[in-house]
Amino acid sequence: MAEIQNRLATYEKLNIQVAALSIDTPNQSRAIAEKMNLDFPLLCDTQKKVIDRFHLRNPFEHDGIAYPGTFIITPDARVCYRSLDGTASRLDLTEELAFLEQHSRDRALLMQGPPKKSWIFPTPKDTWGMARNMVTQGNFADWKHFILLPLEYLFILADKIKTPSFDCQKVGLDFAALARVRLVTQIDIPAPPKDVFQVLEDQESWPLWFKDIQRVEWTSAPPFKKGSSRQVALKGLVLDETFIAWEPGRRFSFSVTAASRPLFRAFMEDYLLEPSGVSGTKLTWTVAYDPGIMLKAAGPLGKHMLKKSFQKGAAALAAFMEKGG
Amino acid sequence: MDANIPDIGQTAPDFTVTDAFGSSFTLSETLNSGRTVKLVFYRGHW
Repeated sequence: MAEIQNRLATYEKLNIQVAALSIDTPNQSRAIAEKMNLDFPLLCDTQKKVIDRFHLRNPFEHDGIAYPGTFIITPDARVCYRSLDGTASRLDLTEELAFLEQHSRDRALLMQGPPKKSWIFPTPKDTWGMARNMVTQGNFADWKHFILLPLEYLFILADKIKTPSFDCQKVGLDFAALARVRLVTQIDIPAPPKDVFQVLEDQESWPLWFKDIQRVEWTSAPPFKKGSSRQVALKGLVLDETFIAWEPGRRFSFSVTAASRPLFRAFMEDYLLEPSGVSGTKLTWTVAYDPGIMLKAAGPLGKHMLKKSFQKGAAALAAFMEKGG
Repeated sequence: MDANIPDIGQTAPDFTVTDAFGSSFTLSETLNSGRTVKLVFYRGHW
């Protein structure tokens, strides 16, 4: 990526838009963009829709981390150049750019023959480039890439636990009536419904009031609505969620589409907000799910622990809103 | 390697995703403005 950044001016000159895609969340991608000073977009395919459309899901782990690869796509949407990179090789940009210069003169030109790949071990030129990046930009990313390459499979394994790789059946609001397990909590909150909804919409507020949650991140662009998605991280569990109801001040409901552990075959939550008294809200919080293998093994204790967790969460939300939200 | 991966001469699938700073990116929109796109798939954070 640093190599691409170094040559960005050449791509610009050729009127080529560079974009890099991974399944990282916006926060994770921003960290990389800032650390490496990247001036091209990092796309966040958290739901793995794009890597699936390109058939790039890594079969080694079935965990959604894309095979690395590069596609050059012409304005008429055709692939004119392609490099599929294994773990131990990288596309040689010199050759790619040589092709692109020729292509800019002859638009019909398609790639011939396999692209040139670099060895995993850095050449003297690469080493100088990395040392320079490290000194002038504090960029350790390239060194990390080479030094850790032999451990790459171990990292993929570790990632499997951290990324939602177990798909869950996406369900609708009617699932609450059909689910194997239904937990309903009702509580009065001393704040008006639209204020409660605002807190639910705010990704930063969740770890503040729901202690089991460590991080919430929207993975689709605002304005949020039915179909928007977010990622929620708890201790030892990461969930991808898609919204199935979004009525500001009234209803906030989502269905989990993937989890990092096989806890659920399907899971949804429905937050119903109704005015209570002059300026209060009656919250009816419904959690409905079909347990997966892991949760079935926990038996009634698993259901009990979940129920307790949501009851605590509801009480915490009420206390949070009372203090001013 | 999956034989269904778009090959040279084939049409690339269209898509829309959000970028690291919250902006929306749609492949067909960028292509329709006359630009060629270099799309890099990478592994992401370690």
